[in-house]
Amino acid sequence: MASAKFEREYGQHLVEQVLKGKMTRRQLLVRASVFGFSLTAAGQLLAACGGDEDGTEASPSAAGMPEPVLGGHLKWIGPAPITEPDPVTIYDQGGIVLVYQFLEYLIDLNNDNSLRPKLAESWTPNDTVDVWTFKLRSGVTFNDGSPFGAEDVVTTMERVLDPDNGSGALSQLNGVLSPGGIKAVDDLTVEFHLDKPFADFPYMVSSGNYNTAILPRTYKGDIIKNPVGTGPFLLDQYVPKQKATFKKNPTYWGKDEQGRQLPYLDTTEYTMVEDNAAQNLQLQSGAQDLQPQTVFQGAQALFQDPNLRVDIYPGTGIREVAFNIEKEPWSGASGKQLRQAVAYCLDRVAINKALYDGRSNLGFDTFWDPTVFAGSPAVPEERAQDYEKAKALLSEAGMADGMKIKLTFAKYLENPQLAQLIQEQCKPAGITVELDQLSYDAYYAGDDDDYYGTTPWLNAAMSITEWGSRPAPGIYAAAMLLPDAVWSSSHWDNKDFVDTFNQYESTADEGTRMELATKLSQLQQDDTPILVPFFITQLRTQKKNVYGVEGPGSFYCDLSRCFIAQA
Amino acid sequence: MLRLIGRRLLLMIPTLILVSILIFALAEVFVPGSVGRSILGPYVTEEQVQLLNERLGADRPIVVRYLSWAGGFVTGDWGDSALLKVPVRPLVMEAFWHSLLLAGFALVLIVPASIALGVFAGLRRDSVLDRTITVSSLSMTVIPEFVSGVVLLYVFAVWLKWLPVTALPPDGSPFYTRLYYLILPAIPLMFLELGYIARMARVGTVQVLSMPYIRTAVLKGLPRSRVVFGHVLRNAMVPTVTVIGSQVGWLLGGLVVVEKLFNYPGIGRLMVEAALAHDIPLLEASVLLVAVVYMIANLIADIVVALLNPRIRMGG
Amino acid sequence: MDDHRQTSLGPDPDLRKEAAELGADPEMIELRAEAAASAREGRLPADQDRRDQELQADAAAAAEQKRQRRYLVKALLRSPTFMIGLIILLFWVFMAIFSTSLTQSYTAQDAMSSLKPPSAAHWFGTDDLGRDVFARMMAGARTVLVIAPLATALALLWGSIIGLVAGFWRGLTDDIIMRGIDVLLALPIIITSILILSLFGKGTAIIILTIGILFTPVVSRTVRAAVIGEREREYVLAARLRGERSSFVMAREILPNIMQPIIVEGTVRLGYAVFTAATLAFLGFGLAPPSPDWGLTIATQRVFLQIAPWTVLFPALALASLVVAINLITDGLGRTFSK
Repeated sequence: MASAKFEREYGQHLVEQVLKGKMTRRQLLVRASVFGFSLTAAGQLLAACGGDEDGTEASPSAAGMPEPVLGGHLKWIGPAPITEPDPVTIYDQGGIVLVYQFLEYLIDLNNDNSLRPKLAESWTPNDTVDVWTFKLRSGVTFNDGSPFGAEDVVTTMERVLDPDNGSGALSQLNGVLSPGGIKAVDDLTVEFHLDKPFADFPYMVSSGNYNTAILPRTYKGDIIKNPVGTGPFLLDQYVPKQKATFKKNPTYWGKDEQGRQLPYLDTTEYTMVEDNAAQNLQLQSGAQDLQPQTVFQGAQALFQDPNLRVDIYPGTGIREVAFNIEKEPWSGASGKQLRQAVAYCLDRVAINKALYDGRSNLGFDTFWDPTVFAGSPAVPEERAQDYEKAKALLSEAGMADGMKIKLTFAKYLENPQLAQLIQEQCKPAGITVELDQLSYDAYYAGDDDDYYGTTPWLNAAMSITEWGSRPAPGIYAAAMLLPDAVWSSSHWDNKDFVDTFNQYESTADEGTRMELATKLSQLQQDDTPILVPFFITQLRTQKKNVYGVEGPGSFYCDLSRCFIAQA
Repeated sequence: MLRLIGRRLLLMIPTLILVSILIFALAEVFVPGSVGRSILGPYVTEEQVQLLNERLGADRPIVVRYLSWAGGFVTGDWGDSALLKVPVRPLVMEAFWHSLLLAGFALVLIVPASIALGVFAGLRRDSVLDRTITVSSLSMTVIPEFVSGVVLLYVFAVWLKWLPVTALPPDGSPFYTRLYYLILPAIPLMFLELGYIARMARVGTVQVLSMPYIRTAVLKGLPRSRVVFGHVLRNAMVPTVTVIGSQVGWLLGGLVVVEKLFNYPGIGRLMVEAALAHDIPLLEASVLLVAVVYMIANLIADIVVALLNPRIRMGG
Repeated sequence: MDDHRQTSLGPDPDLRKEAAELGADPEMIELRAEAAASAREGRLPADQDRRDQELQADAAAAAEQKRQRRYLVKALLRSPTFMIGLIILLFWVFMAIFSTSLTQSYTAQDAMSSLKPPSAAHWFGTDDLGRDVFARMMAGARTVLVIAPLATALALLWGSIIGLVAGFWRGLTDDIIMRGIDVLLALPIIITSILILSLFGKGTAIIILTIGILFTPVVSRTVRAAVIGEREREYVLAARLRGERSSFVMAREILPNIMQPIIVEGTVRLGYAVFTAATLAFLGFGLAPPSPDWGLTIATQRVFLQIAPWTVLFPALALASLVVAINLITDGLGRTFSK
């Protein structure tokens, strides 16, 4: 439970926001979750708002779900982990989806990016939003029998913050949390002392920051030999590049609403297949029950298959089309007009149709987009293709005869298609786009002595970078739009934006946050350091008799409530 | 003869050393990125990568790194895969046996079929049949395996459901089940090689048939079967066997894509991934293993040729 | 270094032994070799007065050459395989040069009608970005017709030289050359190409060079094997007995006689060159979008094989038709020559 005083005051505040029409009920639920409200408490808040609208969305598989079947074996398929799946350093889908089976996070993400207590039961900030107190779940043990406690959380966080361990979580926590900032108050209470106020902090210790999976304090970096965690399954067998098998954790703490022991399944087997077309064929042949992440290209065949069900989830992953503000022609006084000109060349509807069969959400070059991030203000302008405007902006910038630009990207996922769409859509405005396709490795590689000054993804004049799901707009902005962000391909340095952003993350007042978010959104869209043409919808494919698979975004696949119904 | 074989085997050693140096230099100097970056991924800072590279010794001069790897390798310590953190030897050996089984199975299908087709075409030189065999078999070899593989998978595994979609049966399956699972992946490999070997056999046949002594034999009324089996086949084999030897390299190259497509845990895939990820111990071990097989295949081819045609001595 | 071998049969016991192994007395060999050589090149036996004969031959040869050439062209024109192959090849050459001004634009997109089946507006349907598959198929001939022949020509040139030298001289030269070739051949081709491309970057010229380098060892091995087979034949022995220079024997005596395996090797490599470029594109090296290259298109569109097979099958057919055409031409040429 969050502290009673905070919960009462903040709850009252949220209800007021809804009654004043500044927030929807759905937004209230998301924000309440960030501040550690339990579902019951959030439900009471909704009731206080009056009306009978149900704020929660039924998950696609929940509709007409039969009674769970206990036991059974699930065969699922996805890519192999690129490296040894050490939770401290994993960065790829294969690694993340596997460790998620036997490890847990303090907080999990729901399908709508609201937060769900997992190993943490509740969390509350102080008044200045720079100290967060987490109450941990009691009675949880690791699968080697040792009890879970505050010390495990402290060592896990210190581990990812130590640069020597090479964790990707470090750059996400950069400027927010430093080593020494995590304190065990008692065995089940942990305090996070932040470097600066950060209202979206809970996201950073959720499964959204996948390197923060809670490991036992004794972890030695040997995850495959000693797969010790608190999760619903035990890692049984791991054959690199081939398969991983899991069996149920008999001492798992989780129970369902009827008090039945989780997980329902006895065993699962994950088959590692890199090639998407080959994965799809295995699904169609009936050899596999589940594919946690389905890629849009070629998925039409799965949609048409009578034995399969494809679930569609609103995702938050993007392809960041960045203009490097330090490079010609985007630098200088007229850079902004040129960036906007490119933005007006894009036919976002057509891009969405070509890449995602029209199923993704359109993006308008701002992260604060209410269709994907509940609780965001309306988008300032829903940008559409407008060659008149693009040409006007070009001549305003002294480029009436058009310009030549170069777009750099990795041959990975749908990047090449997106690049070709941009190239073709820019033509009518007189903008010639030269495509510079690199291999995935080359795109992210750089010289040893000057990585940041040489790697294409941070130095190309214009580039496409793929980002997996991020749970909140503030997390995205902190990762790529601030001058001290490690991964800023745009090198954008807008003082107004930085100041506003710091205020935004240091207040828990939703009214103020909303005003600040409106301003941030306007600044981002107007200056257009990056194009965000869409937020990618997620697909998950399973046999028609497979139910209860949960987990949002591309990476997480919670099988604790999964079961296979009798045919 | 035995002395010559011994000499050839000895000559493999300097070749392998050169191969290992070449691979090491190419992979370490020219492939972008570093092993630390491959392990940690794009979302960590360069400082973190450098700390890891230091810990792994990847920041030492290239000669030192080569010698330290080579020293371990010759003493039997193949090292650990930098990426997967498991010992290289079992990883490579298992992948290698998988590949060898697939390639061997494909060869068993290819060689008799292609020689038969080639000799048949050669014997009926200039007939419509000859032309059909020559042109169609050779055209088949240039259809990329990722095209033929996907078509075959779709037709036989998904649509007709005659054959399994994967190449690897469940653990503990009997040997014939393994072969049954390998039929589908072997066909694209068969396409790759069939035309080339068949055409070589045909050329050999045509050349033999044009020899005066054969013409004489035919004119003298020697039975056709005696001509074919006594002279033609034996002589047509010479260029064919040479080509088969050299095609083992191609076959293993072709495996990369087929393994990828059929999710077959073979050595080709392992090798490409290791090359791109700076996983030197894994790359070197797999490349050297493939090189040894390739050279032995060629040695065997040379021995067979020498046996078929004693005039050709075993040279370099 | 072992020039004495070629000067006469006398001082070289090896050569005499070889002759003995052939099961004929030296005189017999000479006669048979002479007969074979004159049949092949229209030369008269060596033991006649050479000066006299060459004067006559000069005039006769010129006339003969003209006549033969005319005869060859006529024979080729009558060969149906050659003509069909030539027509298909010329079609693709024509399309490579002119298709961009004849068809719709091969880059124009209409995302709203992506992956549409063949229709009157789009004869061969549209691809994932709503581009006209027919236009892309026609324009796709360009890269193939530049890359594959040039890469093959490079490999044949280098490979023939290396193979001739190694196979003819044998000895230490052969040993050294074959060691180098062994090293190159022992490297898996796909690894080598990935590493070379990582080194040199991308672009059409680099791909041509890479494929040329990759194919050279294989070609030289095949040529060497053929040379070894030939160098023991009577006509070569005879030429060596006559005391011809080794470069002359290689280029004028052996090379014409191993043209058939070289042509076979060439057509096969031509096909493989197309194939290798496609595989490299498939693995992310070499060609890049929006190139309509067939191999690249097959690689990128193959995920749509089930729902939109036209995006893959038409470029695959185009690729196959080109290779069949090349094979038909070679086939026709080979048959006409041998008559």
